Amino acid sequence: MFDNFDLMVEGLWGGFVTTVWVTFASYAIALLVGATLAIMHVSPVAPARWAANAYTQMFRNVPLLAVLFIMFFGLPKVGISQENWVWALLGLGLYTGAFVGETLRSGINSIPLGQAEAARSIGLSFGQSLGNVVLPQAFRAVIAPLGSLLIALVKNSALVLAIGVRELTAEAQVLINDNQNRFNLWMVIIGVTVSYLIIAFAISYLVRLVERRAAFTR
Amino acid sequence: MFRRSAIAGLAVVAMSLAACSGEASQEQEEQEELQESVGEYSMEQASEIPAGLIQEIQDKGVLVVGSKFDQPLIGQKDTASGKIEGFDAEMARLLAMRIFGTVDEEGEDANLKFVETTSENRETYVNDGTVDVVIASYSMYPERLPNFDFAGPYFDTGQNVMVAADNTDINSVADLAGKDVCIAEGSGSIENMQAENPEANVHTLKDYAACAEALENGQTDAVSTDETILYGFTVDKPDAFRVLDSSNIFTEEPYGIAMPLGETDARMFVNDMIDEALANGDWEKAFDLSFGAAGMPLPDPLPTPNRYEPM
Amino acid sequence: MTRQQQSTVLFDALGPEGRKRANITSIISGVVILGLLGIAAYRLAAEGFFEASRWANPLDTLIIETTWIPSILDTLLAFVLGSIGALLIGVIVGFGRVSRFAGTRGVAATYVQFFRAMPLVLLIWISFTIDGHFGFTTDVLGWSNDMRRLTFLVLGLAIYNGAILAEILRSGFNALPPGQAMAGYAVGLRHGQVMRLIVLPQATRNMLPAVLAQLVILLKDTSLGYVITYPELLHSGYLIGLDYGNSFLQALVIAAFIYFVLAYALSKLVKVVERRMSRKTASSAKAVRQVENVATE
Repeated sequence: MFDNFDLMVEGLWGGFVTTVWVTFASYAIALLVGATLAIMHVSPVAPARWAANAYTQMFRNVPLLAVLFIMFFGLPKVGISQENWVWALLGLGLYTGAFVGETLRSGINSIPLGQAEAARSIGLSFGQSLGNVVLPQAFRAVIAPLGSLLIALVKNSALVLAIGVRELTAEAQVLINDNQNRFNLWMVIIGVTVSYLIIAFAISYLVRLVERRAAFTR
Repeated sequence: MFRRSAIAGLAVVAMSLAACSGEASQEQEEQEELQESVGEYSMEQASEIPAGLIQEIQDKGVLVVGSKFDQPLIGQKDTASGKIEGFDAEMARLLAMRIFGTVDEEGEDANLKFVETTSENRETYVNDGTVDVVIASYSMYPERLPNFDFAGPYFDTGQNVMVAADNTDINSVADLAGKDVCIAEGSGSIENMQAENPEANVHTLKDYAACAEALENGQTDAVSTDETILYGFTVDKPDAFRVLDSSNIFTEEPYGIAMPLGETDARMFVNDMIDEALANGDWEKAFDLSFGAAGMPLPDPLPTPNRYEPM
Repeated sequence: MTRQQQSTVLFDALGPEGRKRANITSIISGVVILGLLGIAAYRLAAEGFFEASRWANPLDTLIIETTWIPSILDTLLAFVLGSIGALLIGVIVGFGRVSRFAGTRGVAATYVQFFRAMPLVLLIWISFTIDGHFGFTTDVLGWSNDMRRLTFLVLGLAIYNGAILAEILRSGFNALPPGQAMAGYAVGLRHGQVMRLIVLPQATRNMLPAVLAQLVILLKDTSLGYVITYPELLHSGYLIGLDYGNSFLQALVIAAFIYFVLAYALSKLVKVVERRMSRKTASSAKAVRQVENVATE
């Protein structure tokens, strides 16, 4: 049962590392995209609002896996070819970005109107009232939902196995389907579930930490 | 509001669907013509059904075959007819006829069912009984024999070279010296090529489709991998590519039919089926329906099942 | 408070000069956005993306009949069964989360914590693999492969989304002012009565939008059936694309579009319900939003 333990741990560790870096790298993209979308959503420029809305609707109603398939299998047919990990980061990032945008927007909307009114009445511009008054408060309101999105992203990152990125779930598949080494089924399952639990708990802990920090500065 | 937009959406889909008639209808006819010109199989039910796997299959009345759904000429799902096409699928049909006397793939009473398998899960599927046998371009390498019982080989192939159709100066593996040869990343074909002709400039792309594209665009001189895969590309573009003569094949890929370890009687039964098909001309018909239709010349010699001793 | 109000408060009602400037910015940004779309369309057109034959092939009547329509039905089947299962599990575990008994609460909390951390694709694939390992459904129950795939896709969808629905249910309860339940106890109702008569009707109203939003996600998640080669929409689009290499992108785009239509219709239903809810009880809008934050991918 423990014959190939080292080999199994080695495999799962490789997957663990891939899952973690794919998650955080695509989260960075998602935050950028989401922030841009949120600003477009609340801006006075109508076409920007429409574009942001169209983008959000598109990604909210199409499965992530379909997005990854279109990128990886489809786009090379029109001459746009990239390595699979590039598509993995872009797919996860652009998709999650739509949800980050919605979260930020509802965060902005959760700030009492009086705040914005006050900012406007002392003569601050759109940029100033957004940047100095509304956003800092909105940030506190969105930490928890942004944290949930990060955990969701960890889980969604498993889908990039479909385009050949060897993250945790893909690694577990490889181990279980390996007929040469015959890894113990239960050991692999325990290994992979514990890995995901560790990531999820670490992130929730991190989120709570950030939340507490933000609460003190109020 | 919801209902209206839903209906509108469905209407748009329905309209765009109704308007089309593409290649599929035409291909369907071609397929039928090919089937007609090749003729029916003459495989008959075996007089004796051995106990074990084959008996079980006959008792439950259906043969479940693990097969590729995405390999042209080998095992590919025709999304217009729902049938699985390719040489592996034809072997499955012959095996069904050998067990049941007839083959029927449609409806509730079908006695042959295909289950999609990939290179990653085909071993698991044999072991856990998801499928009865796997016929999925599975090479019976010696190191795999201790894990499964393999009938066959029912087809011998190996690595060959494909060049542009208008290329006249590459006619053997030796001619590849100093030429660019495209191979898919991570493929075992890379090492084989480097061993066979160290002077070839091997470079890699994501997959063989990308290599074929590069060859068509003149970005590389040749593509090299299993001959069966190479002929898969000539189906879509017969005027663009040329596969070198089969005498150039420089590796051995003996495709076998895998079943759980210890099913020696079943293995011998399937070997008998292959021998019978080779003798009565059914094997050649199966070939004409798949590889032959893509322009591959009939192999010489034909494969001979390897009736190895139980491991 | 709607989004419109917030965004209009953030900038002044513009004067003539300002309006002119805003109009110019709008026009410029509109032109830029259209320009980007135009460049993309031009590039696609140059690569033959819009060629009629590339769209006609995957939309051939034969393919629609033998592949698209069955796969849409298979997708909807998995969605309906998965939703029923998820709602059942969600209600059971959700009530467990607010149970009076610490043991029950603990079990329910563990369930939620565990399954919220697991990728759905892993759950679907692992349950399928474990079953195959022991041959339970094949040997003992004698199920066909189609049945097995449907079962384990639905099982995965139900187990995973059940955990999230339970969380929505719990926060629906918690979003109610505690005074509501206390008032119930004060007039002498028992725990069951308080739940049934006071808490549940109000909580249901608060969490309905979030539940429906989660079902939209469940619909999209049926695409994960590909991992056990369940014949759902995306998988079919992929096989059609392989069959007609020149239409690969088109086949996948068609599949994505069908998902879009289905999910969009469902989310429109969510909007309608949301509006009805907020019309009935204006004060619970905040509670609704609070519950919504629980629902994620």
